[in-house]
Amino acid sequence: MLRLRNCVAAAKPYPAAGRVSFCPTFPRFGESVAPIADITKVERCRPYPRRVLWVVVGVGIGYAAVAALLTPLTWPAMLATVPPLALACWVAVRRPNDPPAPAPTWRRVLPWAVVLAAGVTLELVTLFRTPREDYPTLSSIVSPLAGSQWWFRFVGYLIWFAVGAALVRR
Amino acid sequence: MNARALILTGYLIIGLALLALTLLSHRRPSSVARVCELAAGATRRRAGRLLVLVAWWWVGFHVLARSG
Repeated sequence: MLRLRNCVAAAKPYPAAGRVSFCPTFPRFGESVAPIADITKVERCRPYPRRVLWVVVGVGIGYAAVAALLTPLTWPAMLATVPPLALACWVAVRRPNDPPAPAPTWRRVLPWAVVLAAGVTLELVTLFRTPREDYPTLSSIVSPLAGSQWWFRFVGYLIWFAVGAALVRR
Repeated sequence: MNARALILTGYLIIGLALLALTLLSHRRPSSVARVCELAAGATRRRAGRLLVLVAWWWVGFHVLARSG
């Protein structure tokens, strides 16, 4: 009896997860082929159930709301950024290395490198110049809002979480 | 134009350039790498992933907890 073990090579639902097993057992001479109903079952390896996703999103929104209440430049506000880092590192370390994929060529990366280098240079030049009113850094630009507005910090936390989640899930 | 206006203009130009590159990478992916490709390249290995996460944490720490 052919056992394809629910493997359908053409239907790989989550290529990034790397958990779909491809294990075709080829039929020996004289063996019968499994019914279509069996071989079309796809081993769906969703990284997590949808319910877990909603719980994580809810916890993230709640955490952002509470963390945004903390006054900047205080120890509680600074420590509030540590658990997300610890969680992200835990997820990142647990995930196995991806199989080598073709890296983008330097020609395609160069425009990004130029713009980012210009941004870093501008930030560093302003960072080491005074007074801050004449040489604003990015953080000094957002400081008035981040220091006084809860909603700004809340949205900032949400964006920060979304970027972190995208990085560790990649 | 004083220094402050010049620097703010510089930030604005860099922000617009990043936006333009993002759009261009979707219109002409053969010329400009997409953001997801850059992120995938940087986070392919565990050490790279950790470095990127530390940078991500620093940005959040700096903007959300140390601005005021």
